[in-house]
Amino acid sequence: MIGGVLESLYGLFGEWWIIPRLIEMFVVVSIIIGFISVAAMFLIWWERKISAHIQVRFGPMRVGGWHGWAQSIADGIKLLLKEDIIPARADRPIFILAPMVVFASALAAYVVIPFGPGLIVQDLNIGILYIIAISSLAVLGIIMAGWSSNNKYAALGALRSAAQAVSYEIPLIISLLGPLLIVGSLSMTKIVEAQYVPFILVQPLAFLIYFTCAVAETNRLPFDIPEAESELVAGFHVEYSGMRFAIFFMAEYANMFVVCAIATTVFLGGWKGPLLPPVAWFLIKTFFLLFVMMWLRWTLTRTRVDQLMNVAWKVLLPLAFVNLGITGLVMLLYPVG
Amino acid sequence: MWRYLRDIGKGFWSILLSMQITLRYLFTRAVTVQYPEEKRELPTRALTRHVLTIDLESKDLKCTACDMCARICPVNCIYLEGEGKGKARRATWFIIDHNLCMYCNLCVEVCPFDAISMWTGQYELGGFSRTNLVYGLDTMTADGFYPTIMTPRPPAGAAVKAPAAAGAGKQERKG
Amino acid sequence: MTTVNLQLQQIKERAAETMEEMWVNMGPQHPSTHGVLRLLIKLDGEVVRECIPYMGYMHRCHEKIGENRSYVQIIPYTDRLDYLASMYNNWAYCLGCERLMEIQIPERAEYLRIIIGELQRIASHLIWLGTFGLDLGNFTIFMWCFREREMVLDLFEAVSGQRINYSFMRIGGLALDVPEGWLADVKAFLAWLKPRFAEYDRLSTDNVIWQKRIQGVGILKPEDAISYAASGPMLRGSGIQWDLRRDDPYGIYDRFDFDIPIGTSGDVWDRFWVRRREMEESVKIVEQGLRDIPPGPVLAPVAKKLRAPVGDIYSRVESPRGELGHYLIADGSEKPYRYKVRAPTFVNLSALPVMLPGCLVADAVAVLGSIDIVLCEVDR
Repeated sequence: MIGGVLESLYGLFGEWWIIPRLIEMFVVVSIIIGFISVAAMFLIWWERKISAHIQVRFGPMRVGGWHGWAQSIADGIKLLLKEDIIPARADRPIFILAPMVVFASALAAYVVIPFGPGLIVQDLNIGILYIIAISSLAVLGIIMAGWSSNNKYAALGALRSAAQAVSYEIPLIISLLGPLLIVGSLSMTKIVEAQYVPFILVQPLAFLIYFTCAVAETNRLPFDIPEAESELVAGFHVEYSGMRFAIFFMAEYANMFVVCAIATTVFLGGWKGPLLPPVAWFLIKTFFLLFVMMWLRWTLTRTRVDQLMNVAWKVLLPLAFVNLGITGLVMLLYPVG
Repeated sequence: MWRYLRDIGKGFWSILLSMQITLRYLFTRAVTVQYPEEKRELPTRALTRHVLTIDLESKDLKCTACDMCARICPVNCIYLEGEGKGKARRATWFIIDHNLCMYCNLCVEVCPFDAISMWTGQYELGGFSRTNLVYGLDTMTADGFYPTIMTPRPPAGAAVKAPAAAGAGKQERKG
Repeated sequence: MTTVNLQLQQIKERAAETMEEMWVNMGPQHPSTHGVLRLLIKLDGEVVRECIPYMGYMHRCHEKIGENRSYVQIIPYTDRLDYLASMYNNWAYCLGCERLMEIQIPERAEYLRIIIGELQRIASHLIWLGTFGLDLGNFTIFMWCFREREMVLDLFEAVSGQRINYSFMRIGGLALDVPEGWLADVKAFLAWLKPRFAEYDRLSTDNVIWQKRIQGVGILKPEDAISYAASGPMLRGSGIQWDLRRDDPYGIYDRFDFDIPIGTSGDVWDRFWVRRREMEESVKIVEQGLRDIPPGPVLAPVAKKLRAPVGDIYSRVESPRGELGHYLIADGSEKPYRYKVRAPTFVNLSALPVMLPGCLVADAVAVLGSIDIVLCEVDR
C-alpha cells in the first residue's frame, strides 16, 4: 500500500526527489510539534510556579513528586479525555476550524527561528517578513472562534482582539525596521551574524516598543483584553472545552515563545555567547524574556480598550517612527559599510 | 511635548517600581501550609465538633439531660432523651447532627454542668454520607475530657482566662 | 403625546433596535459579580448604555427566620448576612437588643468590641482591595491581601474559635474574654501590617495603569449619593463627610481620635482611596484601644430568658460597607415581633444604574467592584 502511495505521489509530482523531501518535511514538522508541546507544557508549569511564588504560594506541588513537575502533563491528559462540547447554536465547521488556524499560525512561525548556526528549518531570505505575515494569521482564528461560538462575550472578545492586533502590528513592524536597516537583510541568520554587539544596546527604544507590542500580540496581561477573565469571562474561547481549549492554550504559549525568540534573534544577539553551546545561549535568552513576560503579567493591571488603543497609536507608533528616523539619519551620516 | 514625554517616562518608571516589588516577593517564603503533611496548630478555642465531657472522678458523663442545649440551639440540631430524676438523671439518647450545626457555641455556653464542649481540636469530620456527620452518644463520649469555657485552667498553650464570662453566667444560672 | 409623535417614537425605537446595541446578561454566573448578582447591561459596542441590576438570587428569609427565633438565637444568623464583616452584624444586632433591654455593657467589652470591630474593618477592606484588584486584572495583590486577612482571621479564631462566622458578641457584651497574650498578638499584627500598605501602594496606587483604569470612571455625584441613600465609603468617596462612628457615636467611639477620609470627585478612584486610607485609620483606632483597654468583666449580668419590653429600636453601626442598621419591634415576648435589616450594600447597589451609563465594559466591572457588594447581605 505504501508503494502505491509513493507511486501516486511520484505520478503527481513527476519528480523522484519529492518523496524524501516530503518525508523530511514530515519529520521536521513532527519535531517542531514535539518541541512546541514540551515547551508549552514546561512554560505552563513554569508560569504557575512563578505566579505562585510572587503571590507567596507554592503552586502545583503534588503531581510527579518534585514541585509538581508533571502537573501540565496531567492537565493535558485530563483535557484530552474531557467531553468535546460544541454548542448547539454554534457554526460547527468554523468552530472546529478556529483552534487549528490559531495553532497552525503559531506552528508555521517556528520554521524560521534560528536556534543555532545552521539549526534552522528553512533560512528564508525574508524570514522576519514571513513571521510577521504568519503570526497575523492567528487573529483570524481568534475572530473565527469568537464569531462561530454564537456567544456575546466571545464576539466581544473577538472584536477586541481584531482591533488590538491591527493596532499593535504597526508599531511592532516599525520597531523592527530599525535593526533591519542596520543589518540590511531580512534573513534571520544574517541578522544574528550582523550583531557584533546585541542590538538592544544600539536600539534600546526599539526593543522596548517591540516587547510591549509582543506582549499585546500574544494577548497577555496587561494587554489581555480579548480574554479579560473578569470582564468577558474568557473572551473568544469561552465556549471551548477539552482538547480544543487545550489547543488554544498551547498556541498562546507557542506564540509567546515565537515572539520572545524573535526578540532574542533581533535584539539580544541570538545564539551568540561565550562558553556555552549556541543552542543553550539561544534558549537561555529566550527563556529570560519569557520570564520577564510572566513577571509583567503577575505585576500589572489590565488596561482598558481605549487606553490600549491610546498606547498603540499615541505612544508606541510615534516613538517607533522617531526611532526609525534617528536610525536612518545615523546610518546616512556614518555608513557602517 | 515635554509633558507627553514626562508622562511616558513616569508611567514606565512606576511599572518598573511595581516589578521590583514583585521580584522581591518572588524570593520570599510562601505562606501556604501543605495540608495533609503539615497541619496548622489550632487555637484552644477552635470550635470543631461536640463532645460530652466526663467527670474525672466518677468517670461518668456530666450531662443530666436537662435539655438546655437542645432548646437554645437555633437550628435544632440536638436531640436528646434522659432517664431518672434530679441529679441522677442521665442521657440515654443524645444526637447532634453536624449537618445542621452552625457552630455558634451557644449550647456550650448555656450548659449549667459544663457537660458539652466544642474545643476538641478534631476538625477532620469528612464523611462519605450525611449520616456520618450525625454523632450519637457513643462517638461523642469516646474522647473523654476536654477543656470547656468553665474549665478553670486549660492545659498549657493558649491559656484561657474567662472568669468574668463564666462567673456571670454561673450567677445567672443559680439565680 | 400626539399620534405623529408616537409614530416618531416608534420609528426611533425600531432604529435603535437595528443599531448595534445588545443586551448582555452579566451574571448570575460571572467572575466579577461577586456572587449571584445579575446585571442586565445594554451595550453599544463596548459602551454601557443602560444597566438593570437584578437581585434576590440568594434570598434566605433572614428577617422571617429572625421573627421565629429568640433574641439570643438570632445572633448566629446575623453572621451570615455580611460574611466578610460578621462582627459588625453581631455588633449592630446586639447593640439594638441592649438599647431595647437597657443593658449597660462593661467597659472592657466596649473596648474589645471596638478593637475587634476595627480589625474586622481592616480584614474586610483587605479582601475588598484584593477582589477589586482581581476585577481590574491584578491577581497578585489579591493574594497578598489574603495573606494579611488570614492573620486577622487567626486572631479572631483565637478569640472566638471561628474564622468567618464568629457569633462572638452577645447581648450584654462578649461571649468570652480574649485569651492571654492576645492583645500582644494584635500589636504584633499591626506592626506587620503597617509596612504592607506601602507594598500594596507600589502595586496599585502608584502604578500608572491602575491609576488610569479607575480615575474618572463611575462618578457618583454628591446629590445622587444622598438621594440614593448611599452610605459608607460610597458616600464619603463622593465628598460627604458622614461617618456614624463620629456623627452618631455608638459604643465609646467618641473617646477615640481618628480622621474620616473623604474623596473629591466621587469616582472609583476616590472610593478606592477612601477605603485604602480607612485601613490606616482603623490601625490608629486599634492602637488607641490597645493603649486604654481596662481589665474587668466582658459580659453584663443578663437574664437567662431575655424578654424585651414592648417598643421598637433602630440601631446602626458603621460597617465597612456603610450604615448597617437593625430594626427590631418587640412585643414583650422572647421573640421580636418584627425584624428588619438595613443592608448597606443593597442600598449602595441601587445607585449602580446611575454610575454605569457611558462606561466601558471594563469600567462596569471596576465600578461594581468599587461598591464592595456582598450578595449574602444584599439578598438576605
